[in-house]
Amino acid sequence: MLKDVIMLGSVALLLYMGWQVEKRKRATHKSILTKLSMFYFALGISILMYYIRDFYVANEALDLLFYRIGAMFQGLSFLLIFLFSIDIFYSESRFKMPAYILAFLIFVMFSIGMWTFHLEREMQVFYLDKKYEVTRVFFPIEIEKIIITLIGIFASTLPTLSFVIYGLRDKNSRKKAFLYATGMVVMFAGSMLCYLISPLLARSLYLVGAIICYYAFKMR
Amino acid sequence: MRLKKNEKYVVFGAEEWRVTVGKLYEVAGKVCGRALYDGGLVKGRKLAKASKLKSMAEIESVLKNENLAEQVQVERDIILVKGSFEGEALKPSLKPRCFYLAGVLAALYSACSGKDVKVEETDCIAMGKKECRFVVRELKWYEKMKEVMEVI
Repeated sequence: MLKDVIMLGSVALLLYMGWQVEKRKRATHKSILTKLSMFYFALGISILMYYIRDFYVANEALDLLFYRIGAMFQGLSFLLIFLFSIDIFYSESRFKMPAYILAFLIFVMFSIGMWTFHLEREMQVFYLDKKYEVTRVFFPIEIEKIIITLIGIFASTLPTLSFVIYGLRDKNSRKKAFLYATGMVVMFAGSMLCYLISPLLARSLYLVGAIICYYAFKMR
Repeated sequence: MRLKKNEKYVVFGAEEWRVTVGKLYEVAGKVCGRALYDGGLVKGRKLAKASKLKSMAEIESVLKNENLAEQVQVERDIILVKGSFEGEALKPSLKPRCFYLAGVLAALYSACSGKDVKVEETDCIAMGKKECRFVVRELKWYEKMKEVMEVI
């Protein structure tokens, strides 16, 4: 029950914010705001997929199918928020195109790997329902963990920095910008801890991150 | 510009523009200018798409077709416009008044140059000048972020 509330709460908040950003979008910076709203949608859908897969723990094929879809959307959300910050920081820079290409390549490789590589289900620690979770085996697990962590850090640094640096610069929006930065860090940390330690941490941190972002979103 | 099937258009004459927008300036001031600028951006993007705009030299013909201006001269980051519809309609004024046109120009300039720009009017025929003078400048990252933060 608690898990349902946590996961569905996160999904509802993320989808609501995505919808609101989409609705408030003005003529200026339409593509940047589209990326942000799509980030919320993609992350919301990925958590929804992880929620649905819990109903199919007994059916390995369906469990893995929903897991793969969820992971794809999560990867997409990482890609979108990374491109969002590239558009803010480097839209006129010569680094823009290489950064776009690199991010797309990582996403495509991740997606191909997700659908073609072998996935192993194993018991995870701290998980309330004692259900099976998934371990990817693209490479030997230690190397894979390092690679996934590096990708996570790579994708999360720039978006967080864009809010932090803006917050340092603009006194009036400082609180709002710092809240967004905190929300993003918490959500990214959730994704990483999910992979490295236990999904339970991700489930809770997504909700905390989503609440912080929602609080910032409601500030005028 | 080709009209879309389900899109409705209203033709505003100079008199209606003067009364409506003039009143809005009285009530809302800067906010009115900002809203008109955003409206101009939307219009400009549609125009750039419909006319498949590629070079700055084509901006004049696009604006002429829409009766927004009579003569346009682009010199790097300065745009000089003669016969601005807005400026004519809102005469006399102490401040520049062609916000809608500035938005249209920003969208057209962005379409040609591929850069995010902001267009600001420094001289206006509404102020009694011979022509309207617009300055184009690239948006800094924090200006973009500021505008994004207003929405999110």
